Amino acid sequence: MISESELERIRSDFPILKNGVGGKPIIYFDSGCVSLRPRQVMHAMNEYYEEYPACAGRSIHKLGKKVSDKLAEARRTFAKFLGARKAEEVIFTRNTTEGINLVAHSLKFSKGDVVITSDREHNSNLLPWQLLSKRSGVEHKIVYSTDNMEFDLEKFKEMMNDNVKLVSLVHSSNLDGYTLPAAEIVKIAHENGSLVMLDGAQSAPHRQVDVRKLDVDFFALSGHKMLGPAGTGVLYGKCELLEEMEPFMLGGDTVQNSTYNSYVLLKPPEKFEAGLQNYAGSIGLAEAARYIEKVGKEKIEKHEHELNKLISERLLKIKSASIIGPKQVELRSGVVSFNIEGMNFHDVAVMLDENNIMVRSGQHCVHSWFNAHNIPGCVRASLYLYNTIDEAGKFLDVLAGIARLR
Amino acid sequence: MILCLLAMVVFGILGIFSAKYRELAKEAFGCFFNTIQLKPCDSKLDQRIKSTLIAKIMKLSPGLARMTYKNFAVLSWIFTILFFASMAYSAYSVYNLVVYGSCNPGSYCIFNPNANVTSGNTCNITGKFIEFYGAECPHCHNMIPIVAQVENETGVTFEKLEVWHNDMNRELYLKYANGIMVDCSLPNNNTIAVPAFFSLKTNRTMCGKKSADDLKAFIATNG
Repeated sequence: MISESELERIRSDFPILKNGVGGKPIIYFDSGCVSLRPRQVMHAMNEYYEEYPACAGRSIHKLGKKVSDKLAEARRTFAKFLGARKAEEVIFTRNTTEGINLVAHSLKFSKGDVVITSDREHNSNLLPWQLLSKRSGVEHKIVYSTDNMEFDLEKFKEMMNDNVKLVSLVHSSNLDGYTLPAAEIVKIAHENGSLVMLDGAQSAPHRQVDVRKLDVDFFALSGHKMLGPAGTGVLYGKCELLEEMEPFMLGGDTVQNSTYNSYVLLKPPEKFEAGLQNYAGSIGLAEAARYIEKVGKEKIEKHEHELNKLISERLLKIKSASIIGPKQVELRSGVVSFNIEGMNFHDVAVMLDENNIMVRSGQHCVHSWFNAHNIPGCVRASLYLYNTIDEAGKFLDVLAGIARLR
Repeated sequence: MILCLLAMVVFGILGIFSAKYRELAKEAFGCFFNTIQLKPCDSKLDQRIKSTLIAKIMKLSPGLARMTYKNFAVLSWIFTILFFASMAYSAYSVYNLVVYGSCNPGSYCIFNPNANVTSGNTCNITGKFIEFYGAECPHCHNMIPIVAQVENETGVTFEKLEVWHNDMNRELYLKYANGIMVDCSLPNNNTIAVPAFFSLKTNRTMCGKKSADDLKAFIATNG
């Protein structure tokens, strides 16, 4: 767990936590949607705009050289952050959605190939496969969870065969925080000759992820959920796979040369990064990765777990409250999704907001799961490294008051 | 639905002055339009209003918030009916103001900008007033427009009684003559002094040619 003094120092890095809204302090429990950003990230981005606002990989003047160096440094930082072998395995994207779509469009699929997902995928890791299925005749299959909402390894094993080209799963669910046994899944998939992609939007910001140890083939994440700027993300892909793949978007800085009727692509990652990139964003994202590493991923994970434990225990003492996800709190990382019986989830969220407690309500882009379970939605409190025990206490006090309205 | 209807009207009126409310009025209209077609209000405006209101009440009194939350639909209807009733009453008052010069002829009118008299407020006036006058009295003639102005501005009406030719009116005057003579500093010799403005509530009198402000002050003090 992060110590009190360290937590105080961390919180001082986030201007919004110091300034609040309208002069009143806020409790931000919506980091699963977008995390807050420390001033170090904003400073790194400002530095680009103020000191070297040029383009990378093209111009040979001093400013162009500096951007190229900074971007290469950002790529190396991220390769280290994810445990990648080479910086070239890191492709800068706009977000997780773009990373997954890049794989869906660039990996060679044939009619009859199978793509497997879980039953609680974010739309980002569901709709691209539905589209691919419609366009290319690829079959999309779903592994349904156990009754305790855990990944069903047995069912998964049964579903695996030579036709499964790709297993694309949410690493940590934004619905309930459940983190699936990625290493075992990857092992089973590889034994069957399938590739594995993990949607790491909710895992990379909150826990230790080592793509080499996991042996995962693709890993996509978003910057805005890990203290980084909006409109930034990363797709990790094994070098040999990226080399084989055709980019789905071409343009400036993706080719070595072109004629009126041909082109020669650059090597990865450049061939996947068409057009002028969000340099300030990528540099800011690398700064966010450094910030997380400085605090320590394990510490962050433990901190969120302790807060979740406290919230879950007290939340379940409210008779009308129910939590979505596995019963064991240790499986739900820093996410608490819940409902108060007889109360609309949006009502609860608005009432919390009136007390300056920010949570998310609705179906959290996992419409498919809610529709399948005939649940209209829920309230989601998602925690991060800057949240405190006091905040959790206040949240629970207000929530208990709301529950008494019934 | 009822909240959306109410919000549509309120935000519609506020929208005349602010673009922010115009957007909310549009949202409320969409919500109301959907609801009358038996579709859900997709903007969730009604929910937002309800929850925000309950949360604010919760800070003041959790018990009251609970009661409001449980009976929200009924309370919404009550307030909506009250709102539309007051709107209708206001419209009727404006009509009266345009047609008769007073939104509430004979009583206080909020739309009359000069309705406040020099001391006190005509809202509290419950007494009746008489103006004793003589048909040939020049001061009484001079007072006609001033009295009319005061009546218009305060909503108070003077009962006008001619006392030089009308015996019944003179008898009434003489009934109060002692007090009138004292208030108007006149010798008590059965003089019929006019114009005399008399309050039946306090039995006090003001005599002679007076300004509109003097008359309003007399009304405020003796009404």
